[in-house]
Amino acid sequence: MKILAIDDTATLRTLLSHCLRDAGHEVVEAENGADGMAKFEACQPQLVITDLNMPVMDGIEFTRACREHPDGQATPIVILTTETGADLKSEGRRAGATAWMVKPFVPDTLLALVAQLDR
Amino acid sequence: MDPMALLKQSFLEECDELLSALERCLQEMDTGATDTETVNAAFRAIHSIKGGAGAFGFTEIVPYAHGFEAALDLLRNGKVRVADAPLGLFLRTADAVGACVGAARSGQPAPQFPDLIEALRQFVSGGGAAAAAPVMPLAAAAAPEPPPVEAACGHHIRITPHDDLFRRLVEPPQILQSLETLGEPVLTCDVSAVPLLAALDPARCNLRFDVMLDSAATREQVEDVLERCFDADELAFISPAAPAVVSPPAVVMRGSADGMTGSVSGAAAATAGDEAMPAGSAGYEAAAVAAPAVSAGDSALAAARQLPLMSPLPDASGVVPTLKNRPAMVRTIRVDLDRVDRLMNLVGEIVITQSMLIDRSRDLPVLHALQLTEGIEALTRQTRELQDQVMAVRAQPVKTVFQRMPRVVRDLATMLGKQVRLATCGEDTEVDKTIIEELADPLTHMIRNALDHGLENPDERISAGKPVEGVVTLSAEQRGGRIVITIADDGRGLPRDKLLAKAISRGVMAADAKPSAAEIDALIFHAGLSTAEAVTDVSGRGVGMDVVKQNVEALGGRVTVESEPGKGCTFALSLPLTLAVADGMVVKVAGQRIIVPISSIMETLQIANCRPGSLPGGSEIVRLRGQVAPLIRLADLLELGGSGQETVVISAETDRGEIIGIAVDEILGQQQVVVKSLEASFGPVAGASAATILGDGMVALILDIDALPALVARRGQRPQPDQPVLVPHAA
Repeated sequence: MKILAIDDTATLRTLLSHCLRDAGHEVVEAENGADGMAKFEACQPQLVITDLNMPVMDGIEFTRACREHPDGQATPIVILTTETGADLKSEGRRAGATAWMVKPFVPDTLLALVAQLDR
Repeated sequence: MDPMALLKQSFLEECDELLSALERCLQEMDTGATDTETVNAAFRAIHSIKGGAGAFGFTEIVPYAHGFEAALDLLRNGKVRVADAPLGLFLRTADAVGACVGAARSGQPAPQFPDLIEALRQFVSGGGAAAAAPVMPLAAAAAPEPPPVEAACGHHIRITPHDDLFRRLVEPPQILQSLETLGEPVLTCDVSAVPLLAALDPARCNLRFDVMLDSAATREQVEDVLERCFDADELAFISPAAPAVVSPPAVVMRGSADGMTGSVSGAAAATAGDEAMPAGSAGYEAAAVAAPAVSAGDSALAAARQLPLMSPLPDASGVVPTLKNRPAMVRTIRVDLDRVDRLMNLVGEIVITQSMLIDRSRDLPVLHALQLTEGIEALTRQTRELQDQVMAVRAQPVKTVFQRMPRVVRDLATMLGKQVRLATCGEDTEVDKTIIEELADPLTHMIRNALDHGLENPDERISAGKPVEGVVTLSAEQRGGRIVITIADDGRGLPRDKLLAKAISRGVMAADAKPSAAEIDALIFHAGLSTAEAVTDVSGRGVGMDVVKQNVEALGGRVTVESEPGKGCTFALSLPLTLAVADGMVVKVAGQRIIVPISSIMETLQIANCRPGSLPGGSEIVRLRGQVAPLIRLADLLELGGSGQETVVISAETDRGEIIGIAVDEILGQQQVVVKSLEASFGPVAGASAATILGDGMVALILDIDALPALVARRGQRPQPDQPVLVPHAA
């Protein structure tokens, strides 16, 4: 599966990519929401995993933008964040996020979720 | 009534049947039956209830059924001996399910028996340990031990998603999948909030889910998983121990009743029900000892059971009639077949009236027509159901005939010195009773034939490289609107040269004829053409297959044969499933309306889209799904004149699997038609299997798809028809 991984922290992004690539997925990395949108348009991923707090464009704004994009309505979006607040989560859901996962993530759990969202 | 409500209704009725079957099993177990079949039957009954309850949104039934099923499973796989089963608990659970079914039927809120669910849970989680607890009287509440809070091994989660669930791309199967890591989830979907099609926005989610998760996981673990895809406010954990409807004041019940010796420690105890309880009634005392936590509704039920059963019980307490106070169900009655036939005829008359109403409704102003149509649609469904039900009254599984055959085979095999195995399948296929009765003789005859003529002697089989043991397969299946019964053997196949020689010597076939293999095989149905070299006791007098053919045709059926030399021979009897009402497509051909049975239709196409062409010799062909098929212009075939108006081709399959294209002028609609025999009132009509009366009182022919290819061939040979073609007139 082609996955777009958006995180402003390089190490985390690398860790995420590594974990996904290990499981046989193709990963495209982006540094923030705006970068993510550009990459999304360019490479049409089948799944997006995005951080929440990022400069330029955060994860919720990205989700909203993606859902408004004609190609972005059928792509599951997972928000992977340290945030656990119910309000933020609700906001993410309203923006159109498919799933919410809390960092630090357990690779197996993340991969299981990814597998679930793969159709 | 909308179809869903109808379905729900019939499910509830099914529940009654299943419950009485269940109770029967439990009683058998109570009287000492320990065989696995009884337990299996009980298990199947509760399993069916559970599955249906989930599917139809009667979620309140599911927890009982689920617990019950799990408990019976312990018996089924031998973890608990039947003799040790807590039958009192089982009977009460059956009653509780019965009460829920009753409540669902009357639209009342379901009564709650949390103690039962708990007791079942304990029984199951203890691996049947609770079985040692005293068996409670039926009228009593049963909960062996108050549950340790931590021991909960299941969760009931109600998921009420926001209506943007689909926009978020969360798909319900994911819910189930994500829980599989924790245990065994059972998901039921409540579709009651889904609006009608006209108002349906497919992007909005109107579903609600109930998940029963059989798992040792803690609530936090379950939350963790579910909250990945859901907001906290979309999830509700429903505590099994707390009744959701009324929470009675938490009062510790003290030993006020005589004989109450056990300590009562449950937090939620009976209060409201207490008052209704006849004081000092022996049955209840015993129960109270073992029942620390009894909810209000439950004890009221227990109490109500002790009331005289003269008047309907009050509904306020959520009490509904249960198994115990329902009159014992009469299992079977004997009814004169004539009465059933009369019923069937009446259904036919209703169908005619119904099509008349549909016809008339077309002349009404749109608004009125719409309202009427709604009613008529409901009526249509109900007549269909009525018809099915009447047919079901007459239906019997072919098993009744099939089970006579092993004996026939065994006796005959011994006599012939052959080794034969009879394989049967589809014994549960149901066929009209009259047909069943008429089937026994033809089947016996064909089985005898297969053994005597079809299968070789053991020596012959060995030298042909076949296993010594011959196999005769008897199978029944429903195909379209027909029942097809096949008798196949793996013997030598039909002796074509002998058949042909005999046919020529008897003058059945011209000496210079060049018949195809199939035509030669079909000679087997010709009177007086037995090919057995010696007449034996078994078969071989040549009064065989022709009689079979006659019998089968008298039933409105057909018999065909397929044979492969050296490999075996298969006879197929194709019989009509229903003789009374059929679904038909009304088409127009040269001004006449003709009914094409829906069961034979595969698709309809514009004539231009299937590239009609002609072969040298004049016969026309069309291409249907890449296959070349003969094109039959109905107007020509039935000699109605005015051909060339055809715009539509109906692709149909005959019972031999041939695909034919039938060209008609126009498709007028689709309706149920009453099948009226032509033979009885008029005489056989080529190309028509029967006639019907349309809504405007006109007669229309029902096309006999299966006979068309042969009719075309005949017409090809003889330009002048020798049979009259009926031109329908007003009835």
